[in-house]
Amino acid sequence: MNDQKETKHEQDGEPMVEVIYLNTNEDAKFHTPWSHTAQQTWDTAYAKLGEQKKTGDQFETQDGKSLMPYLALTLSQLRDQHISANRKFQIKCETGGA
Amino acid sequence: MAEIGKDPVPNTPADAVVALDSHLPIVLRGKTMSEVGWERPDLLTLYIPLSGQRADGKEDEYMLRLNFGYYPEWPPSAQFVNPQTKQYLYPDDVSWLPHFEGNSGIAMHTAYKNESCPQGRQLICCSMTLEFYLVRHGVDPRHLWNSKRDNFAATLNAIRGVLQQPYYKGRQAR
Repeated sequence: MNDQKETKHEQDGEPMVEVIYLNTNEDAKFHTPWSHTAQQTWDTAYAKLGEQKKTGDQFETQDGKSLMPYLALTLSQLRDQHISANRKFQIKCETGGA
Repeated sequence: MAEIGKDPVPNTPADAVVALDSHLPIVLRGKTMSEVGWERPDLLTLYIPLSGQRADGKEDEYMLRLNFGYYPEWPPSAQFVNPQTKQYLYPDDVSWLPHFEGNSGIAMHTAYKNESCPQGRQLICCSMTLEFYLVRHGVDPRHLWNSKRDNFAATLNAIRGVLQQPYYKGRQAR
């Protein structure tokens, strides 16, 4: 049933995305239009997570590929260009050290 | 709350356990300790197996020990250990530490020495580890551990990140 609902959402143009905040492992799952950019998706995720964007934060796929060069691409472009097919993302925060 | 130039203060064990218990299911994201291979030998310690992904696709196995004695006001202690002895003795156990390079937010020292630790100690040099504050490492305020926001996922994910390419180079050489 959930799969059927999800397929309908995808066909209607609002697929589910998942964004994990790596400083807590909390996640946000929400529907967003295929026409939204990675930047818009990233910004929405902060609001859904209740977090503030900080200098140095990075937006990535969940396998660690940086999306920073692709922030202007839409979700459908990310899919078509094989940058992110599953719409699973993460926010990595900068640390101090080395 | 972590502050620049302030010595870390241990939490009461009871409060530290409460914090760890509340954060553990969030960090595990629906999985169980046994599913991910984690061990909790006492209430304030976790042993976490990690893999280093080499450029040639091969993997090296490591054991990370997190201790939560100062948690959550300060980040957990994070130390790689010999998986057999669950200890780190320098220099015998150096090869149980990963070698990674090229990330300005984290570095690995097999025996870090300064005025606060003249004898030398293993240091995962990252603002998400307790040892970083124990050795009074310099830190930009925006990188400070924030106990109101961060949990130990921040520690674990910072370390996992450098066990991937392009950072991970293999085991530390003796």
